Amino acid sequence: MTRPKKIVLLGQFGVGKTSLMRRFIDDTFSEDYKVTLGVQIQKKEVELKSTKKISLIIWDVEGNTSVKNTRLSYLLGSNGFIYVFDATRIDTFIDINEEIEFLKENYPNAKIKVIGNKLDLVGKKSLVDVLALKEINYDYLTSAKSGENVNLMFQDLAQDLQS
Amino acid sequence: MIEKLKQQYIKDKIQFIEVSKDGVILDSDNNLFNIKKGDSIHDVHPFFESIQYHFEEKPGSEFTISCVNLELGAISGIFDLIINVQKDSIIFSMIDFTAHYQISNTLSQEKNESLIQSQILKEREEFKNKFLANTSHELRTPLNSIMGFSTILQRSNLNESQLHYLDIIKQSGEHLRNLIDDILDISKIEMGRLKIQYDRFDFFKVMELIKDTYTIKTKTKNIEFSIKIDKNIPKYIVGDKIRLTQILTNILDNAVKFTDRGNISLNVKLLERKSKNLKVEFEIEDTGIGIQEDKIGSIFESFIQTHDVNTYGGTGLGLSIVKSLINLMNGSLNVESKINKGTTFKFILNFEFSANQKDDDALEYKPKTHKEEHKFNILVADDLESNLLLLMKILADYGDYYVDIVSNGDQVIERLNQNSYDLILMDLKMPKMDGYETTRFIRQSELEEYRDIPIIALTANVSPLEKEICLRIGMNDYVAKPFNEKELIKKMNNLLAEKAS
Ligand SMILES: Nc1nc2c(ncn2[C@@H]2O[C@H](COP(=O)(O)OP(=O)(O)OP(=O)(O)O)[C@@H](O)[C@H]2O)c(=O)[nH]1
Ligand SMILES: [Mg+2]
Repeated sequence: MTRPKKIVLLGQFGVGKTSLMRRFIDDTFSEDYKVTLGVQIQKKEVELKSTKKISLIIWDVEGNTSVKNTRLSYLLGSNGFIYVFDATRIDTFIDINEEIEFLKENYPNAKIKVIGNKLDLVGKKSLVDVLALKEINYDYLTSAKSGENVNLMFQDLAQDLQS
Repeated sequence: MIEKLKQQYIKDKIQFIEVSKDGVILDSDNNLFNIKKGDSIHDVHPFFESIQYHFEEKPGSEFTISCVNLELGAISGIFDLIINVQKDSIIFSMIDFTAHYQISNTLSQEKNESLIQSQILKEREEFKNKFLANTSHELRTPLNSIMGFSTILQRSNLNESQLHYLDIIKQSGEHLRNLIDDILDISKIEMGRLKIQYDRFDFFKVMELIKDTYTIKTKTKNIEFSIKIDKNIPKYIVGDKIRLTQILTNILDNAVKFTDRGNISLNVKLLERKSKNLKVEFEIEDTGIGIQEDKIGSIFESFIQTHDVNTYGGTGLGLSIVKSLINLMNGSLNVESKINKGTTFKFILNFEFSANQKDDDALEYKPKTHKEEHKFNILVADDLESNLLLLMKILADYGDYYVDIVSNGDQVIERLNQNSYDLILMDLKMPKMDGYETTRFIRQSELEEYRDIPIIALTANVSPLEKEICLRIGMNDYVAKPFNEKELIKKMNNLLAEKAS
């Protein structure tokens, strides 16, 4: 078995980082919003396609308006980043290209997934929002509430980390 | 004493732990929580396992990781950790800062909640406006067919009364289109997406058009319409011709609607001319039913109608649009009214004098005739059959084009491989590959003859964002539905001529 991988959840306040981790680890969800302070860490073993196993240690970091303001000590040594935005709040993805560029430049060896969360609310939006979403490159749209794509996304990242 | 106090203070705040490079616990003072020598620190909390990379740094280095939430057996809290790398071991100093961090927690919670709330409110307001814009967009599509086919029908052999009925259908359609445009405008204004254009235009020509329109509109009601224009106003001025017309027609339409006898007058005066700047006053007076004094204040609010809707109809948006447009143009507006005597609207707008006062009809569009032997190959892509039929019919009537039709983006690509086309008319919303994707695909193609085909977007949604996106992804132009036949043909011919030259 390989060494566990460190993954950091990043993104602005209230986009659903903690909720995604909870859905992934305990398969639960809460409508209540409790701000994350600093970082909380959880571990989960994932089975890969090759029936090999890999452990993910997930760092759920407090929301920040920019990755640049995140404590460096949280980012160091990461094997992967999950950058989460709220697909229903444009403010949370307006600067996304810059954020991702910053990560790529400073952590060239880390795998990055860009996630639009709260997919369950997106269907209710109109054409123009979908257009705004169309303009950015994301890997998955997820819903921590319904669970849609959450496991798939973590699984995919785990697979990337293996190879 | 000091030493004793220090011990007491540190006692339940700090724990020191020493571990080997592979994580075996060598020593711990167990000040905060109990761990056993010989166990692996990795089993205490995954946190320790995930910072293993620090263990391999060179001896003497020190790292701090602040504000870490940890559940450690019986206790849980928020800690700062200092990691000292020794030659053969690692020393952790764990400081319990739970109480300290809890204070900032409350602050962040409140700050974040209110921030998110305000973003959601903003988003919801936009959603409302987009919903309005989107609904009116959905309404335009069927209207497009009704208006288009009515025009085609008019050209077929109809008897007198059939023509009359058709005329009524077209008028009602026109009315409906105006209502939809109003709704679109108001949602654009509320979203802050409506921009005033500053272009040079012939002021007297615009007034001439107003005069003709309202002379006809008032004739059927047996009221008089008079117009007086200050001769000191320059012929060519700079401003937004379309919005000026919109303001005037909204106010004048209201006047016509609420006046059954007497007259309506439009009086235009040049108030001031300072270097380039012109201040022009427009006064519209009617002898209609008037507005109650206590209601004058609310006539400019969206969706508010002071008179019986069933008798007078309308969306109640006209005057709200007028007010917003005048505001956008930095003008001012004033209303006076007496019940059963009439109403006077007065507004002042700022324009600029155009240095070029020469008539230049040459700049105006002259329809080109393509009656030469050469016909153009046009590909039309739209998933709505009625739209396809309508476009086919329009283009066939002009006789300059061969038309092929398809109903999605995939088929566009298929056809391009089989045939060469001079121009593509492309709907944006289509199943499978939509208009955006298809255009991107064509523009990024390896084949030059693909890349250069002019593409006109057929869009029902005419928001500036939509237009911007169309042009940005490489479309050459767009035509709003319901189509204005002449506009469509003009834009097509312009692009075809450009390509040929
Ligand atoms: N409808 C819906 N709500 C969600 C979803 N994910 C999270 N939420 C809600 O969004 C709010 C914020 O979720 P959190 O998971 O605490 O967000 P966070 O990114 O961890 O926030 P910070 O820790 O402050 O950065 C909570 O009220 C959640 O219930 C989702 O997929 N759908
Ligand atoms: Mg959180």
